[in-house]
Amino acid sequence: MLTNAQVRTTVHEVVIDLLLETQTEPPALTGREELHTLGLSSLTLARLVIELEAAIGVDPFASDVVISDVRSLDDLVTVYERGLAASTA
Amino acid sequence: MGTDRLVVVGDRFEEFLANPGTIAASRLRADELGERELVAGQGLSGRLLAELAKHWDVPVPARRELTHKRSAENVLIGEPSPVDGVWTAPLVLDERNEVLADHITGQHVPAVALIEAARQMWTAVTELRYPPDGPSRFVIEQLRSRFDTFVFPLPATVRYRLIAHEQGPVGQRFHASLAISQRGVVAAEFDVNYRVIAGKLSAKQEAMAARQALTEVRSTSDSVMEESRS
Repeated sequence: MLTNAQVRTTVHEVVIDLLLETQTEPPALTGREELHTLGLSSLTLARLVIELEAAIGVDPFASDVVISDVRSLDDLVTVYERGLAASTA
Repeated sequence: MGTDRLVVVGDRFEEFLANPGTIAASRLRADELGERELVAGQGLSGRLLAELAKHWDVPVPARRELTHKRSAENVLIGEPSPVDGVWTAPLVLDERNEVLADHITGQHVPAVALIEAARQMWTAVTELRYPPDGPSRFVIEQLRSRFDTFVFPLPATVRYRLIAHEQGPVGQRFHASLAISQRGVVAAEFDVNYRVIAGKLSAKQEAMAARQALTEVRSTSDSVMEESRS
């Protein structure tokens, strides 16, 4: 099972990979960034969720979480940490 | 002589069939026509068109999968083909088509049938020219339409012209213009922006949006819901 630090790293890496497809120099991520300011559309978010499910093994948006619950990148990391913990509880 | 031509039309176009020189599909007896020239109008089934094609030059419906329809009677166009960068297909309206299910007003082909014909045309051309890698969804981003004149249940043509195509990280984007013309006159025009997105991705986006919408409705106060109903 991934640690919380590994979940955070994975989320950040996948987000950066997505941003690199449309931006030549995406910003260095701190976690405080709001998702909409990063330029993630609903379609890109859907892709992010699919890729994170493949990487982390859970999709918190399938049952417990709705996208409006997630404002910042840190929020996104938190829902994946919780989702992973719940899946192995 | 043009006046010797007989136009066969689906029975449901009752008012149009009151015009001289027309014959209802159910009354057509091919072996009684002799040398008379036949024109295939609208409202004919694919089976009848295939039968007529043995004797006359008539259009036949495109393959269902190109138009994303499951029932043959719901296909509205023939197979598109490119000529000088413009894709062309005949309008092929079966009177059992779902867009005519409720009623036909007057003598003309309803506008909703023309809109659906345009949708089938951009879908079919995209499937032929830019076939998606796997299961995909076609998503309309913007559609503008204009109707200049009646389209009657007579031969008509649908044309598609690609204006822009872009391959992006989450699928393909298209901008196209379409026109439906009859007797050489443009009767309806469409300007459309659409995307072709991987089915899995589109389904995930839709599922997330659906859960978001449902959550908001369930948490919205009764007074706000009352306002939305008024």
